[in-house]
Amino acid sequence: MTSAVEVIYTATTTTTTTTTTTTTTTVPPTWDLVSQKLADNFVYYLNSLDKLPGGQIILRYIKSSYQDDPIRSLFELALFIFAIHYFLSSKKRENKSDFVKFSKREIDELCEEWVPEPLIDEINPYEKWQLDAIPEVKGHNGSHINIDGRQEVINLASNDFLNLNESKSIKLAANQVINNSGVGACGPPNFYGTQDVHVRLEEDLAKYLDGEQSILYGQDYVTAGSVIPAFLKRGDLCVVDSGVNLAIQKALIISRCDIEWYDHNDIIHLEQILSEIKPVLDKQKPIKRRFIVTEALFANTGDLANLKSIVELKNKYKYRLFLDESLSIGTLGKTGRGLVEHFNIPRTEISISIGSLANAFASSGAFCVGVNPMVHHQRIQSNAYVFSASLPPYSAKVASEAIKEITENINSNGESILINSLHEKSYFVYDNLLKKLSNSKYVEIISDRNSPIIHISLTNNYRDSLNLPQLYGNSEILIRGKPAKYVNPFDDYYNFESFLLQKIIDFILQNTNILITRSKNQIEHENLPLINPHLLIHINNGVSINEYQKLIDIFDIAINKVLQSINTENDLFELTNEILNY
Amino acid sequence: MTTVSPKSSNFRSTDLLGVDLSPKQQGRQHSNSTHSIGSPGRTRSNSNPVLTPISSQPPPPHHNSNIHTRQRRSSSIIQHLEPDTLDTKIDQTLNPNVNANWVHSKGAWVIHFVLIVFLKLIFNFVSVLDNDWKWTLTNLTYNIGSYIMFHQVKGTPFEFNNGAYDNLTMWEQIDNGDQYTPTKKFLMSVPIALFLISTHYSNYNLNLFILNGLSCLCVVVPKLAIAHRLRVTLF
Repeated sequence: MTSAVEVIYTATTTTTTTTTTTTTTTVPPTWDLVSQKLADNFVYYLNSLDKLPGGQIILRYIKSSYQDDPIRSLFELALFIFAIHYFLSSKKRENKSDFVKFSKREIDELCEEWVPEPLIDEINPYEKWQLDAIPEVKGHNGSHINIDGRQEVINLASNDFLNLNESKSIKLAANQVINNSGVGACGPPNFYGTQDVHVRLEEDLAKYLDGEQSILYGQDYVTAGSVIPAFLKRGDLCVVDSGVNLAIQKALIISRCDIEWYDHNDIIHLEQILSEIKPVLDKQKPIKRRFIVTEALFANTGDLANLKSIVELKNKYKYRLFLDESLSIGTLGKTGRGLVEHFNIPRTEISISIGSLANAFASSGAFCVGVNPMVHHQRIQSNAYVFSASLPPYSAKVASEAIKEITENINSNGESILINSLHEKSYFVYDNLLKKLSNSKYVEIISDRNSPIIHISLTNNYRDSLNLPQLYGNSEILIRGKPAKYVNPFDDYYNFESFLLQKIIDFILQNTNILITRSKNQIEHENLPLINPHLLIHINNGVSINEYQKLIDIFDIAINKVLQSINTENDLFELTNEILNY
Repeated sequence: MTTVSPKSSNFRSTDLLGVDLSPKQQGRQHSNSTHSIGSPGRTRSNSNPVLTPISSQPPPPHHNSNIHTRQRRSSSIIQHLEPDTLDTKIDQTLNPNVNANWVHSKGAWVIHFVLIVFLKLIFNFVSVLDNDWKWTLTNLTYNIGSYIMFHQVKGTPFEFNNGAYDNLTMWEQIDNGDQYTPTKKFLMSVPIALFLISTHYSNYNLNLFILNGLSCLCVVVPKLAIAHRLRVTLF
């Protein structure tokens, strides 16, 4: 056998050397011979394993496993080699492209260039007036306050619509609780932060609002930002009104869900969107959650959501409804039960309702009310409930007392006396102001008649003549579905418009001792296009009709006095001096 | 005192922007005098209740892509998942991934051996089987279970980051996607070792070998580095 191999070798070498060797019977190399030779070499090397310690065992294993089946053994050998290669590979990072590699020199350069930013940015001199314009209340805060040396200023700038801040029984209850258990909450609600007053308040709220259970939060602005991410995640769908306030905007961004926006209070557009998405959603497996998110009484515009139509649509297209009733509970409806009472809709139609205790209930904090599983889920999954301190006990007691005050004093029509008084006063102011301002070319009333906050905005024509934009901010989130990467820059026109409103407020304060206010949105942080600032009149139960009459009388005088000199855009920019010297 | 003219008013105390926004997004430019900012297809309603615009135009294109963000674009059978967006990556790194971190602990390594012994003991009770079948069935059961656990189920059983891992199987979540880590090497070696044992005890019978080999391949191939974020859609 070896001679044949040698023959092969000589056959190949004859081509290169002229020296002839022995026999010339050249046999062409066949597969069998080659494989046999390879096999022999292989076996030779395997046998040399004998010399290694333990090689005997390996040799015996290979011999016993071979069993005359070369293909399978080859497969096992391949697997073995693969395993060796795999187990000897070193760790490979997946997201290497996310890490930027700097050389030492680059790092040193960057460190030298670095200038620390100040802890607090310097105030833009064009914005400094906003800080100076904040009134400082000396003493008690209620319907009549002392500001900056003026006595007995009528306070139409507070969210305490029912004036429960000055109610004797509420102050007494708060006193008792503070004497009993101090002013602190001691921790998150799940961990020493829940006392009997909290449990009672949750029961009272559930009973008052016809829900099965309710849950308390420590602060009302973050409630939406905690409740919405507890129920929504990537892949879920929200159809949202594009006039919602900043808290809900941030909550939706945090929850990472897909957002569809419908024009503010535009039911036709809402239906259009719902019917267009329907075929896409029907094919989804598994079914993702869908919500319609809206506010009951919009904080930015003062109008009411068209709840009847929204409820019809959500039942037709099988969506859940999230309603933010921060401003409407305690002010709308015959007994203050919110927009659902106003429209006579059962509370069970709303899957998640959140509300604020800091407005009409004269306390602090917020709540969420609904069916048992929904509320119970939040006790573990809602970040603000689990990780933030709970309400101070006296706040909870005050809110319970407030609910008692509202519901126990019922007049013959079945309306709560407090709410009725609030409604009368707001209707009075609204109707009279509407009459007075019907001919005004400068301002108009924007809000709904039932709203306890009256929004007064510059008219569209007037704003066009001053070249003010219809909406401020950016609309990235409407177009691309994702918020803009950068905050909105400082906006001169927004600043000027706010300043005009402030001048009107100052004039009214000077001449009639009445304090009204204006919209205070932070345009830098708004993710949706922001509507122009409004003058706000917060109706308060502690202010009498005569005092409202004073306001109504002065109002158009103030408007004309301040705005008649501002007719073109240049006049706006003339205000710059005033702004800098406020 | 300087008066500021309309077109060149440009004071900014701090540089809020890293990038020049387009004129549409700066409130001070005049580009949005008549129509408000917004997507071109929709007319926006302002708060005046008299105007009720009816959007008869077709919806803007982002409409559908929002719903489809979690689905793949092409329809071929084997495809890679798109890389995660920045939002998703941030959410993934905010909290430690409690769904996939437990595989690093010692107990999680020992449990594989315990489970295999346990399965073999169970099959020992089914006395009609020969030993080769017992080992083969042990191998098959272990492989089916570990396939479902590591490669079939996607996402996390409880939510802690709003679904940042919803597209990833557990194998892809381990160690944040890094390959050739000690845990992954161990988890790869267990089915291979089990396969070798099963073939040994089955005396290299061809049918059982094919059965064992196929199930081993089913479990080993998804664990390879090239199979990271690979999806095979057969239906």
